[in-house]
Amino acid sequence: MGKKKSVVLMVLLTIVIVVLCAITVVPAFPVPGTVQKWNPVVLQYDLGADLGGGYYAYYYPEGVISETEYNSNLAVLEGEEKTEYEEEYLQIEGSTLYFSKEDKLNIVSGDSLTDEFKNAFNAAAKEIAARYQAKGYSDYRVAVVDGYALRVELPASEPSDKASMAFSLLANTGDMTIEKGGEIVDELKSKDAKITDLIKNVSIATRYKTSFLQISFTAEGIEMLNTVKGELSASTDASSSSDTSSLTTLDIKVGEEILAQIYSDNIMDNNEVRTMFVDQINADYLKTIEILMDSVLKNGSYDITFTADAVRSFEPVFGENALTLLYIALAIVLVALLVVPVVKMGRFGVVSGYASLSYLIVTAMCFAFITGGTFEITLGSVLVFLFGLVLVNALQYYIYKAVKTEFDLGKTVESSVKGGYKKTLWGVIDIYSVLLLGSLAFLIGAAGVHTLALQALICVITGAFINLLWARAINFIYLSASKNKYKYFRFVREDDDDE
Amino acid sequence: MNKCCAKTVNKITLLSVILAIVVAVSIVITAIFGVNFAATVNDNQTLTVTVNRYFYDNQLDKLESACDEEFAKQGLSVQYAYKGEMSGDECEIVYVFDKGANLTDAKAALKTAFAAKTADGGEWDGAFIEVATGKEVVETKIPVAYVVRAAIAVAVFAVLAFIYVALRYRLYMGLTTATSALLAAIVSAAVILLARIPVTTAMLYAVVVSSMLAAVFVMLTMNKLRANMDETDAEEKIISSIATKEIAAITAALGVALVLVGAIATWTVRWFAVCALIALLVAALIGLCFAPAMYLPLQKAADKKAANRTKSGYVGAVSEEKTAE
Repeated sequence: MGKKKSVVLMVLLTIVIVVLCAITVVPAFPVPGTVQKWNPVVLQYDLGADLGGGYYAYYYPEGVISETEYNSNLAVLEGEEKTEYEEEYLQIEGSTLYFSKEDKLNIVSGDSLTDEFKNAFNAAAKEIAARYQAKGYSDYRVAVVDGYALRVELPASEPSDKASMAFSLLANTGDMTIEKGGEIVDELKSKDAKITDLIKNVSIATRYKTSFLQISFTAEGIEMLNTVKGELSASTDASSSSDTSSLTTLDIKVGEEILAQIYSDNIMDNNEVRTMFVDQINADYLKTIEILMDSVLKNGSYDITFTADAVRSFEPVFGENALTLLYIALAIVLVALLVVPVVKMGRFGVVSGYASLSYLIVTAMCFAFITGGTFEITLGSVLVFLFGLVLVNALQYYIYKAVKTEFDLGKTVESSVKGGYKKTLWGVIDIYSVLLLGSLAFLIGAAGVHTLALQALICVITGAFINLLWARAINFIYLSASKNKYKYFRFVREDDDDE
Repeated sequence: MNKCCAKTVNKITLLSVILAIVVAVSIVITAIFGVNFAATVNDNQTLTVTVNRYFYDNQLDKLESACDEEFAKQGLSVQYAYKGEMSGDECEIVYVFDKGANLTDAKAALKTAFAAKTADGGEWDGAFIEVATGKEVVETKIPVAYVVRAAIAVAVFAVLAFIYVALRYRLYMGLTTATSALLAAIVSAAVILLARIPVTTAMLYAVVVSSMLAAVFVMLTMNKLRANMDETDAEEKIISSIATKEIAAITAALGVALVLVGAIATWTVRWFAVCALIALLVAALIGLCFAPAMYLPLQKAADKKAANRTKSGYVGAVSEEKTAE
């Protein structure tokens, strides 16, 4: 390649990398003359609880209120009303909660709580915790507060509307029923009838980037579907009609919540039901519905009703600036990885610098813009990013050493470079192949480990591309433009017959 | 460092015993004292200060100072705090304490102090502040399913690494890589538990990455070994092939990066950096000492088998000339 051409390419490459780096890391600022704010890529991540905080909500069983609510209510009452209110609730030793003495709630018996209430609460609390586990959050916390309430935490990676929906749906401990036009279907009217007599299981399927709920019915359920199919409205009627109350659907409800509506055309020829069609990126919503329905199908309902308190957001609990501090540390690491290679390898170290910046740009952008929700940034993400960054530089050094070894054998710089790359090619491929297999294997992991595996895949593929092709191409361009090829690699030879 | 590695290359039994002891002691200590869960996933006591939005937005610093002063007076140490903000009118600060803390006096004192300040004509007139305490018992500290699936993932990785390396290099090289990857995860977890580092689900990330690191370190050595295959003496071959500089360089660079991250960042990040540093050191130790020591007897056994085959008339990869040598 000609020197002029190389210089032009070098300049272009530098401009592109600088611009992309700016898009990636330049700190946020208000754009002058507009109401908009510049946000770099690294501030657009879905963060885990350690780095971004999250949301929490309290679940109180019906008839149970917090000390704060009790005191607030009491503060506005006076005289007899106040006394009456005080008599309506009981506070037991060891708990700051207040329990309603109302007979129909069957919470209090004399000066203690009923066994039915205690057992129902304990069983329901375990089931709710299991539902959150099934959802696969990297960081979540379900804690029993004062024995008879729950506080549930979710990471900030979950958008607030989805978090609110999860808080609300996963607390539902009601019974599952099927209603047609607002009436429970005949098959479930008898005392002994169970929902499992009609529905076998629920799963999520995806076709052509559209996800939907797939409900499998038992033989009795199929019979019921065939009986009512003719009476149901079609989904096309729903989309064209402004008055949906006139439509007849088969509603699957848990408690008072309608989870899925079945139209006549949702019933497939194989007697399976496909409903709730959403875009694939919103499949998370279906996942919550599936978990709730699956939980009720397997473990039934609980004789207790929870009210999800308002959702609160919180900053990282060990300091609001957790992310800023982390970025400062990572920036120092990056600068060190730009400087040290130059010191050790001369201008070949500059190639490593370009490799590091390219790695930063690609991984930072992929981490930010690959489907949100399931792709949150946790401490594991930071670790795989650092590992990849160090590995890219270590392998550059490994290649440099191989080139130097070739040069020490008396070869010209050009043939040393060629020989060095050739000799290290399969070694580098092997390392990245094993890491690729590792990333694929880690996809088996649940929650955060699964996300880490996806991020490791990005880091490994990016690293391999940079070490095997990108850095090699940059080196080729730079070497072509270099006047003194010895100086480029910091090689010294007395009998200079290279140029 | 190669000299140091040369000393351990014949000590596979000793190294195995040491690693087994570390794992066994860790199991015993964990069985006796339990896992040292981090404060964020552990049972605790809370003191919640609920306040109206206007006051929260404008006087939060004063409210926090009043609480901090009272906690200091009572000798209470706050582990961490949630600042729970709602879109509605009510916000709250949840101060988290150790599960054994006595919050009765602090609660009473804060209630009295806030009542005086929020009274008509008081310093904080118009503010609505409520104080409540509670005990929290965590349902699931670290889901067992998460741990089991991470363990399965590491095992599958070991199998895949074995297949790849065995096909690309030699069977015993594959065995060494797979064992090293598996062992790095086990020993890292054992050391983290033994060192009583506060554990969260983030520990799993360090453990799984440790197996990847170990695999990379072993692969660097395997690359050199393949280039030195002509060397006849198995011991010399492995000693000269240990990728000491490369492993040391990666360990040093990543180690310094983790120390820096740990030193600058917040509490949770700091403990995670410590976990990751342990995982890195374990992987380096396995790459530098255990893997070469494990490789040597396997290579010798393979050489012996090849020699026996040649003696019995089988002529495979080893030429007659080489056998005579």
